[in-house]
Amino acid sequence: MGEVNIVETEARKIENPVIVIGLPEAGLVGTISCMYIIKSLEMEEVGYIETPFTYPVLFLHKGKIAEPIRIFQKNSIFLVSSEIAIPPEGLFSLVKKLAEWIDRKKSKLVLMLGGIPTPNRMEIQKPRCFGVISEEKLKDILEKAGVERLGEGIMVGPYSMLLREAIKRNFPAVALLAQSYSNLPDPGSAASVIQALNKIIGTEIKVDELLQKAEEVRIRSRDLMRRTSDVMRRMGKARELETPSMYI
Amino acid sequence: MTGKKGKTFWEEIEERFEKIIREMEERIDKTMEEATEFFPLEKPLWNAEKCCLTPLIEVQNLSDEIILMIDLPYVEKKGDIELDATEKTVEIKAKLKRPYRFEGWGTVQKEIDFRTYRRKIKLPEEIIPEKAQATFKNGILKVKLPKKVKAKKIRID
Repeated sequence: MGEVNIVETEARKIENPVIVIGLPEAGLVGTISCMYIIKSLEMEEVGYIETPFTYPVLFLHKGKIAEPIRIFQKNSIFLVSSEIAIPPEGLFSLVKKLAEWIDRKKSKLVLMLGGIPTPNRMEIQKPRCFGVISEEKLKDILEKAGVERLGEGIMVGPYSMLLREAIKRNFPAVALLAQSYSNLPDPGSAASVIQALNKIIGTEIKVDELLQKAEEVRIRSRDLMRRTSDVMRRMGKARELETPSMYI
Repeated sequence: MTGKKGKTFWEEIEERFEKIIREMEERIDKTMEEATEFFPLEKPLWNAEKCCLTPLIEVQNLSDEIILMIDLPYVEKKGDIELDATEKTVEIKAKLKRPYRFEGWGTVQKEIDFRTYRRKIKLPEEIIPEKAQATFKNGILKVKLPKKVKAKKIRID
């Protein structure tokens, strides 16, 4: 099996960038929010990630060939987004490479965008966003943004691995997770995550259009959601609904 | 006239006949299962001939009921949804508020006007169809299906 490679097609020397990451997970919250951020901020494609595990797949967008996992940039923000579900067997090598890249960039903050499966999501009008931080000094960032820190729970998936790498390599990382459906695309949850991101890094992305086009997003995300559901089942995502052990 | 184990000829015939019917039912169930499994990845989520889409479903299998969350973007009102349940299956048909076309997608797909959602779901356990309840909100249909076999209370001595 080949290696994971991060290919930067446009070399951008940006000091201490913010790095935003959106991978397909519960409710496709990471992918939907990243797609919307890319469009809203008019971010430029500057690279992609080659992986041996994303199958022989390429995407076509408006006639142009596009890699499934791409890197975008605008001002001091890099964004990594995947349009393909990442199988559990590929996560370790992808996360390792991503962590090395973040380290080299000397990122001042890594923000991972995603959803928390919430059984009564249908009854929730505006999903709440929660934060998981890699180091204690980041709790002020959450407080200022009005994002509640997730106290107890179990995290399963790429963000749990990336947070572990953040602790090991000492780069600051926050996972912003909004209440979401597990196996249905959730633009409402993506809007909550973007609003939290706005407060943390000072962007002014309006989510009105995302909410207006929610049906369009849902109908077009069905295949990615189906594949992501399969991957989440294989990685044991349902464990996130389990009660964590208690220290008394 | 008696046969094996003291059964009459007609009792034996009836028993064999019931066995054949049981086997046939099992075969039909298996075929249905293959045709309606939850996430058949190799099958597309659309049917060009019938101009219909397969809706996504989230399933919660609780102790006394099964909850289905069915995603129906572009379905406007509950009157456009048809829901049928048996003890083992739920079938959904729903009309989109306007024909939907995936602009620019594929070769022939971009010319299809999708008009409906259709899906037959095989349930993980038997339910009581008469007691099923459904609500529709923001394009999502929630179906609550009480299970047929409920836990029986055990007296604690």
